[in-house]
Formats: sequence, structure tokens, C-alpha cells
Amino acid sequence: MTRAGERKRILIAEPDPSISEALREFLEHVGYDAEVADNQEDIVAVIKKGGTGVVIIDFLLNATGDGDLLGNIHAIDPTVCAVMLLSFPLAEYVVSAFRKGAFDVVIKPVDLFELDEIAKRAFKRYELNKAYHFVSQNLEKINELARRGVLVTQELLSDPVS
Amino acid sequence: MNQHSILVVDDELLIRDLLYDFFTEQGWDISVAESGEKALQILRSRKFDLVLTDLKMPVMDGLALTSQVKEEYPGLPVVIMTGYPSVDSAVSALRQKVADYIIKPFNINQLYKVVEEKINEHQD
Repeated sequence: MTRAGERKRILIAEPDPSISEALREFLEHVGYDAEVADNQEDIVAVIKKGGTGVVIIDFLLNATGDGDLLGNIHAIDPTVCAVMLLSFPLAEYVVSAFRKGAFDVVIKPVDLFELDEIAKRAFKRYELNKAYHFVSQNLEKINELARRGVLVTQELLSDPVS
Repeated sequence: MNQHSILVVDDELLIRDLLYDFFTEQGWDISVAESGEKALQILRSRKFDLVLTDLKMPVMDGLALTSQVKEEYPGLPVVIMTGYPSVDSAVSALRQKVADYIIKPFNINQLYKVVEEKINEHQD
């Protein structure tokens, strides 16, 4: 979980520097720790470092390489929430973004207030995703502790059950 | 073959008949409704694995029906189909967590694949 006072981390995966810098500046201004990457290799490296909750990812950048950058991101960290930026306002692209696993979409030019609202919802979902992932990864341990009548906490689970 | 049960909602008789005949041939249990209101009545009387609904319908459209279904039957997947796709309706539908948004004209075998896949995902 994100600790109190710790800035939530967003990755902006956008090839156009004029857009990515504007987004970074805005997101930093509203309190996020925003990082920019403009190619698959750097994006994957940032996700592998861990701690990124939300990725804002350009639809066309997602389609480069093997065509499923978001799939690769989710293979590394399934809890990350992705907001896809679409340059072309077409229903087909919206549907494609959601089918690829996007949490939400924003049509360019980006309405920053809309993005801020979506980012807030995306972080709520990220926290839920993390909690769900944590429970599913520790189900056996949780059941064992519950059988012993122990109140299960995340701190307790990080130590081996004696 | 699994006998899935789906509720098809469309104000166009031709589409209802086409989907009824096709899915019945696959051995599925199909009910049809010509409006959102009728669909809600049918849903209150029995269980379904999935609702397949048209988007543009008079009085209660597919989005209003989806919202009602999500409220009353949160685990029931809804697939929306439309001949009038728009960014706004696609975003609204997908934010409501519809299982999928299919654009008409569709290939019926692809529709079958999507519907079956969504039922299986929700039953896992």
C-alpha cells in the first residue's frame, strides 16, 4: 500500500514530448510523482522497478512492437491501472483500448481536469487490485492463520508462519 | 456442449429472430425481449448467464438497461451491440463495466465466440 505522505507514482508513456511534458508538469502540480518514458524498453524498465500505480499510455505507442505493450506491463505487474490516450475519437479504438485491459480512456487533446478525475479513480482501483492480488497470493497462509484464530494483517503475512 | 442461457434484447424483430435461431441451433437456451422494460420483467422471473442487448432502443436504451441490470444483478455480464457506435456511448458502456461492446454489422460466429467467452470468464 502507499504510505501516508508518499506521492503516488504515475508513468506517462507518450512519444510526443510536448504532450508528455505538459502532462508531467500538471500531474506533478496536483501531487503525483510523474515519470515519462517514450519507448517500450524504458516503459517496461520503469514497471519492473515497481511502485508505479497508474500508467497513462498512448494508444498508438501501445500498438508498436508486439502490439500489446499493456499486456506486457500487466504480465510484469497485473495491479497497474492503465489510462489510454486516444488521438482518434473512434468507438472502435475505445473498445479496443478496453479489450486490451485499459481502465479508462481519454481523448486527445487531453482535458486535464478529466485526467485528474480519472487518475484519482485509477489509483483507487490500483489499491483494490493490490489488495486482491495480495489476498490471492497469500490465500493458503491466510486460511492457515484464520484456522488458528489469528487476526491476519499484511505485516504478519510478511513474516513466515511459525 | 454447455447449454448456456442468454437474454437477447432488441427492438428489431429481424435481429431478435436471427439471434434466437442461431443460438437455439447451438443448443443454447434463448429468451428474447423487444424492450428494456420487458427485459427487466423477464430477468425478474428467471436466471440467465448473460444479457445481449441492443444500444439504441426507444424509452429505455441499452445503457439504461445495463445500469439497471448492474444494480439488480451485479454479477450478470452484459454485452452491448450497436449499429450506431459513438465514442461517448462506448466510453459510457465500458465504464459501466459491460463485458463487451460489439459494432453491427457483426459476424455472427465472432459474436458467438465473444458471448461464450464472456460467459465462461464470469463463471470462472
